[in-house]
Amino acid sequence: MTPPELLKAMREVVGGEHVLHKPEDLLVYELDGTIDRSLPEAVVFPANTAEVQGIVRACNALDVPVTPRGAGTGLSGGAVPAKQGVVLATARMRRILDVDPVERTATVEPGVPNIQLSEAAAEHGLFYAPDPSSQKACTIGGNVAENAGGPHCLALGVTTNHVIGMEVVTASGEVEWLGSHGPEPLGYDLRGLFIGSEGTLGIATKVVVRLLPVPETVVTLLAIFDDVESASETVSAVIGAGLVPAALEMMDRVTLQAAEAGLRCGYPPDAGAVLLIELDGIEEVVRGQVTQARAACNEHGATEIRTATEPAERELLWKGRKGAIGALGRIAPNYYLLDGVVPRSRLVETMGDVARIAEGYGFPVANVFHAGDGNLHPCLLFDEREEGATARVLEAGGEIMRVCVDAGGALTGEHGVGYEKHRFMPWLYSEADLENMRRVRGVFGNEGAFNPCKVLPEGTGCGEMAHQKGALAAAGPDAYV
Amino acid sequence: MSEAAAQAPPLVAGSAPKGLAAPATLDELRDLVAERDGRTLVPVGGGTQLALGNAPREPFALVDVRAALAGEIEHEPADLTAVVPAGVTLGELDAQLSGAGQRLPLDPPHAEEATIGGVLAVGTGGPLRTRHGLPRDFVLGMTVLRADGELVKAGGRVVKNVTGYDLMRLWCGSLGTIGIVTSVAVRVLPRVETIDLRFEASSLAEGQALAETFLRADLRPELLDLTRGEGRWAGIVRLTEGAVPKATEVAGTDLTPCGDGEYLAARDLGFGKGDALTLRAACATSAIASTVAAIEALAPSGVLVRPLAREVRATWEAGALPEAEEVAGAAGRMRTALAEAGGGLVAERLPPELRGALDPWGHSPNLPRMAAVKAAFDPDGRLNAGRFVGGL
Repeated sequence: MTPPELLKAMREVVGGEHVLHKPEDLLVYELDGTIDRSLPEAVVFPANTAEVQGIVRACNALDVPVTPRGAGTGLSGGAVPAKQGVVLATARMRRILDVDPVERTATVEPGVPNIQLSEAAAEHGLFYAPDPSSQKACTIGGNVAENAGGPHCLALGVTTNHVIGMEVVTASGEVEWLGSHGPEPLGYDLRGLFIGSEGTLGIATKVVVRLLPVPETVVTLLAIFDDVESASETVSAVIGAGLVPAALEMMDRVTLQAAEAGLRCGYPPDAGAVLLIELDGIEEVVRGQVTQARAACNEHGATEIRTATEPAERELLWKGRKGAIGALGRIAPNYYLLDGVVPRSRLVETMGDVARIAEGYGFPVANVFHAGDGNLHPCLLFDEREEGATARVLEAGGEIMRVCVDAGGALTGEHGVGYEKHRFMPWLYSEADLENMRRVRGVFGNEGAFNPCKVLPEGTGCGEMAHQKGALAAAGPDAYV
Repeated sequence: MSEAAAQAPPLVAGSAPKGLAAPATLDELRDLVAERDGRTLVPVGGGTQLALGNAPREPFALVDVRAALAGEIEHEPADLTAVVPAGVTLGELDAQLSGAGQRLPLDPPHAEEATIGGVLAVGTGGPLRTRHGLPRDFVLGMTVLRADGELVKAGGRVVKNVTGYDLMRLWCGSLGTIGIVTSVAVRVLPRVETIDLRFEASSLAEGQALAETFLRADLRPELLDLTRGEGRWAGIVRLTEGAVPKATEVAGTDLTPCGDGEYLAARDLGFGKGDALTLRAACATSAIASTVAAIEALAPSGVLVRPLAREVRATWEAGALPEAEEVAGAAGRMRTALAEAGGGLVAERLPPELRGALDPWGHSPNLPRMAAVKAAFDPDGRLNAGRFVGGL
């Protein structure tokens, strides 16, 4: 039950109708897009910066943890209230405050869905570059927290390359602008430090982004291959030719079969891999790049190449990729989507390791990935109703992460460490590195109570779940430095 | 060590160091940093930005880090990455990358001599920032020697990575006040065939309009700089060859191929031997014209506008400096106006006679938070104390 003094304090800040506390209402907020879950004591919906500040201060005074939440589409347990307490949801803060075509910037509240920003910019011939696959739902505030990427970040970069400033309420409850609505503020890049801090340093309450002119011409190529190896060699050839496509996406056989069954994309039944290559720019330049990309595909055994330039046709080529994860539901009722990253040249061998691990655990695995930047998304398919399946799938996930780290990669390319992987951090960083990172929390007044159990390992008290221990045991706890 | 010590050490922000150390190895550097001998240490690489900032807290010593932070570049062309010891110059790095048809598009003033560690510490870009952004935008991971002698790292060597706090962003542009970069992993790009074209504009507004036209036409200029001439502005734009016909079509003025003289002059403007005062404004598009007008009232010897990067730089030669009060007053008014539009004004070079009158950095509303950063990573002020914003 929600402690009465907490409920009273929250109602005083936002009004009674904007506080959820009944168990059946809280249930929706116990998890995000992944597996870990923990029930909050209250969910609070502030309308503005002052209310966010009021919530943070009241919770700090009551020693209650605060966990910020956008749309809950995150894939690392970042919005899970690991030690219960209050979930601060930004759903009511969804105004686009300003779009400035001269400066090519926009100022928005954190709850604005990513796609709405590009829609608002479109009338000025501009767009917002980072486009996570969840962009119809995921919020700009969540994107800032996770430093979100997306299929088109290969050429244009991730959130930190496009957010130039934000107003935040810090973990200690102070309001401060980091960065600004203009270029290059003085001194330490606090903005850059805050972006990607996964909501552990504070909550962004206004976000200023830069907008880019919409490309004149966009060409999407879809090339079909017999196997992932040929498609990967094509990726190397494309990059070797000096092209930096706007997107370079791959899907493997399992994914293609599910997508074909669910979405009717017209993939041949024996297709082993599909590569999506998107090129943009002025027509004169793109034309030559398309020729180069087609040559690379043909040289490495593409059995078919489809090309589209009109938005509706391009959308069709993207359909299988964008709907891929959803289509996997035809194979198994649950999936565990991982986010690993390795040097691009080690993608194929890492995929082999992933397949071996998944097979060892008896889980089918589908792969959708950003081939251009070595960011893999193996998707383990399972049924949570089977005894022990959830624990085993997390174990397999831990092993796969370990393989990525051992290949010279990292624990997350774009989904964040979150709750899911905070205990794996010693595989990448020494105790000195982690202690050094921990100092940043002090700078923003987070002594450990604000959004706990995220990003950095914190010892005990973070709801050590049996399956998390299993994942660690499976992959080995020793530091990989 | 002996060769470096034989010459008189250069001034740092107008002040003479009490000694110069040149540790030969990382271990020697580490021991030196961890020592508490009461001196402030000022790390220096190529020494291209020694005039920047306030004078360091006395007594201070220069530490030439180039020998300690030398080493092999680990270039992985297939991954488009390189791990670079911080003492390597951009010139050396470019020589190695170009062998594989790749590049790191960073071109601060005197890029050839500047070490990558120094470039990241200062954080300033050059003409190529128009297309490619600031040095920090290329950093994938870093190892840093902290003021207590601990070596710590963040990030990694893969091109997409959000594992842990983005301390690289904090380290970049921190002017060596919270640690000395020892090694850096960067993202590199394929080399592309480009051509430099010059053009003329009868006014700044016309030059700005042309820049906007190129941008909106999706020509993706690598750089576009406007330099003030006699009663007109000279422009230079770098385009891929395939973009030239369309650029010619939309420009409405002559675009003439040129060598790299124009480019180098724009890149190094304000950093020549005779340049005594150099100001750089980070400037919203809507504030560029008024900023340039305020600068021109002080009769500079050179003015550069980087419209798409929203940057203005102006310089004055030693014999033609404005009065201290005049500069201070104008800078104060510009700073107030620029701050409203989210920008600022930094004195990158400041002659002794103006040092008392003009804070090289200007005010930051984030100073208390920045002081907390400094206290978290260098509580004793061992590294570059006093030199940065607000005397941090």
